[in-house]
Amino acid sequence: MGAAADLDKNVESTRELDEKFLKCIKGIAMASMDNAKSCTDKVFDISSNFLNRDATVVLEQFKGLYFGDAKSQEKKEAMNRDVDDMISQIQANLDEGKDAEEGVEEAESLKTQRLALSAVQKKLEGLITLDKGIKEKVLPALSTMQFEDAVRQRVTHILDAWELVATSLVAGEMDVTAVAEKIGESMSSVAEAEVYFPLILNRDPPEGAYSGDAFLF
Amino acid sequence: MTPEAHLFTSNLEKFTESSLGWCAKEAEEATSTILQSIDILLEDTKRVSQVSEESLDAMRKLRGDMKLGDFSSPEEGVNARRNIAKIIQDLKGLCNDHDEIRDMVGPIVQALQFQDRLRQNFENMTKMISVWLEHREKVSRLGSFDKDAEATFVSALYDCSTMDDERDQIEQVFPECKRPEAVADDALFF
Repeated sequence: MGAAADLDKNVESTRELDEKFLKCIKGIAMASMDNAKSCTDKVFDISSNFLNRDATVVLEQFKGLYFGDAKSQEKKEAMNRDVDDMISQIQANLDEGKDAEEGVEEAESLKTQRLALSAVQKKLEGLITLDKGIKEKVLPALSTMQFEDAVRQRVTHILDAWELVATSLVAGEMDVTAVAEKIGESMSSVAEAEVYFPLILNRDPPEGAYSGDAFLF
Repeated sequence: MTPEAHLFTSNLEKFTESSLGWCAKEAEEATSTILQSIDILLEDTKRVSQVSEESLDAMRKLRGDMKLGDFSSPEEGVNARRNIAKIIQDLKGLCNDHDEIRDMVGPIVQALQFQDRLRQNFENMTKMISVWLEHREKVSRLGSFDKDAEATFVSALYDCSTMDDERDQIEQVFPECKRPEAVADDALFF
């Protein structure tokens, strides 16, 4: 009885520490993302000094669609997942000798978002092709934007991973393999996965499952 | 904690260091991208024609003197970070001395400052996670997170912080623990 009470006390104390720390580190992470966003905004301000109006408008549109509102990251990830699911379904259909498109559907809202992003990206690529000199002028803005996106993802993965670990540890015996695999599923770039999988799961990351950390251009 | 769970958290801590280290390094390297904007501005004839020769000469001279250094090794990285601080100070001086280029150079200074703050955020978060894990082990073993344990933990978190916005977050979660004085580094910011 005494041992059980001690165990409960240990769990409660650890839970309190975890909850407070995770709240604190999430606040700091959010502040860091504000710094990243402010940096991107400033680089866009700088670029507007030497880009013509058309290029500035397209660049701003691209940024707007790339980041959009507060839920844009979730949307972008959902969009990527949706496309991945479609590809998996097509592959499965082909493996089973079925019609490739059978059961393959793309969510309408995500499709609209993907097509809009793709259209503006094409416009931007068009501008770069038409005016070679413009490429080096848009690069600082694009690379800063993509840097912001990449670090946002990395920080989110780290915090989500520790939150999952802390919750699993206080809940009792943690299923290490299940937790490690679940965290592995959240990895979204080659460089990130190439460190995570050998270090934590003693194996190479799944082939072709990840995009590069950067960059579109 | 089982030995298996212990090994796992220890490896996850290594992964955290590596991933946030990547972010900090990318933030440092992004500094050169921002500095390239000065070259683009100096080559922009339309823009440059509106600025006096005196201001342009000062900007060209400063750009010529800028040495960022190499971030790849720990020793040289320290120098490179000092160089960034110097570049920021010099650009701020340039803005103060030449009003007409303040609009052009001001955003560059601010972008560099945000990038430097970001790098510090990543480095400090890595340290804070290690502090948490260390204290977590003690709390879990002793079964107590009393006021003294909390004060020791929070003091260690503050030691990892270098900026006021980080301290604001710590203070918000632990309002009863003493907050240290602001550090000089933040004076770099506008």
